[in-house]
Amino acid sequence: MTQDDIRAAYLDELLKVAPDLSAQDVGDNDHLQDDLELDSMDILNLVTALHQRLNVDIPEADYPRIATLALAVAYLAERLG
Amino acid sequence: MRKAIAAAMTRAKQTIPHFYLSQTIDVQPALDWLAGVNATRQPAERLLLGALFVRASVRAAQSVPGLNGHYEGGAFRPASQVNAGVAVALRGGGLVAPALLDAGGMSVNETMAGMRDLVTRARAGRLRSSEMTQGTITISSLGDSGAEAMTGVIFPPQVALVGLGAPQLRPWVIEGAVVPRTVVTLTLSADHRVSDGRQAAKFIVEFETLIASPETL
Repeated sequence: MTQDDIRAAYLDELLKVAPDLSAQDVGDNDHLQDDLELDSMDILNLVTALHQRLNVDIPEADYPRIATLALAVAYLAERLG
Repeated sequence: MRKAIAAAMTRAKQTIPHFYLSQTIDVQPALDWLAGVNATRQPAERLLLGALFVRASVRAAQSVPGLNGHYEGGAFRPASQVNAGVAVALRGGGLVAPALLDAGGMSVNETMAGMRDLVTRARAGRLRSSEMTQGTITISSLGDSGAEAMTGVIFPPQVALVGLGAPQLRPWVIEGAVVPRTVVTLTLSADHRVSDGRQAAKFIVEFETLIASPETL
């Protein structure tokens, strides 16, 4: 899976969790909570969706590593090896 | 949405003689317990601190029935079950508080699943009318970020609201030593036509005791 594929998958699942957002709203360094206003339930739903889609189980300790699009792409690429 | 909120809150402030009790509570045992539980679970099965807050509020409401029910027609009618209203912020703005019906008999896992379902349906505009009208006490939590404390307005005809501020890392004294702990400030808003400070204090003590032993929830 390429980094572009991971980026597309993350964005797709993020926009399902927060359907009021559009892809244009999500900058590479926008923080899920501070900038995009997701709450803890939204983030859990995003983590659940990424687990189902990519088969990557993200432990709670790693949630900060998916807190922005840029961080998430790097983290998921590492996990998908 | 804003007009409906304005009408309900104006009615609440004009007709309910609110009083408030606050307590800052050490939630480190709950967070440590959650971390251990969640480390063994896949994401779909994980718990949030908010589920423990709802569960502790439900159990406390069962212990203090004078805070669980409706004030209508000039009299208080205690509820026979706890329908826990869960305040949900809508992403476009506004707030709804659908109820987890008959939450008294739910486990923590069932409470979490019920909250997840309520939040999803609230944001999709798919709540049932019973969930919007049959709440008997409301729990409103600011979640991971936000202000340290929240003094909420009771949703009429209910007679109490549990407001929980965002978790804060604070110096805390345990057995004479100052240690860093994560704490949350609980503010109970209650209707003075129905209850008094003693009942409100009992509710808070019960909540604090339960949160200190999350495995018992």
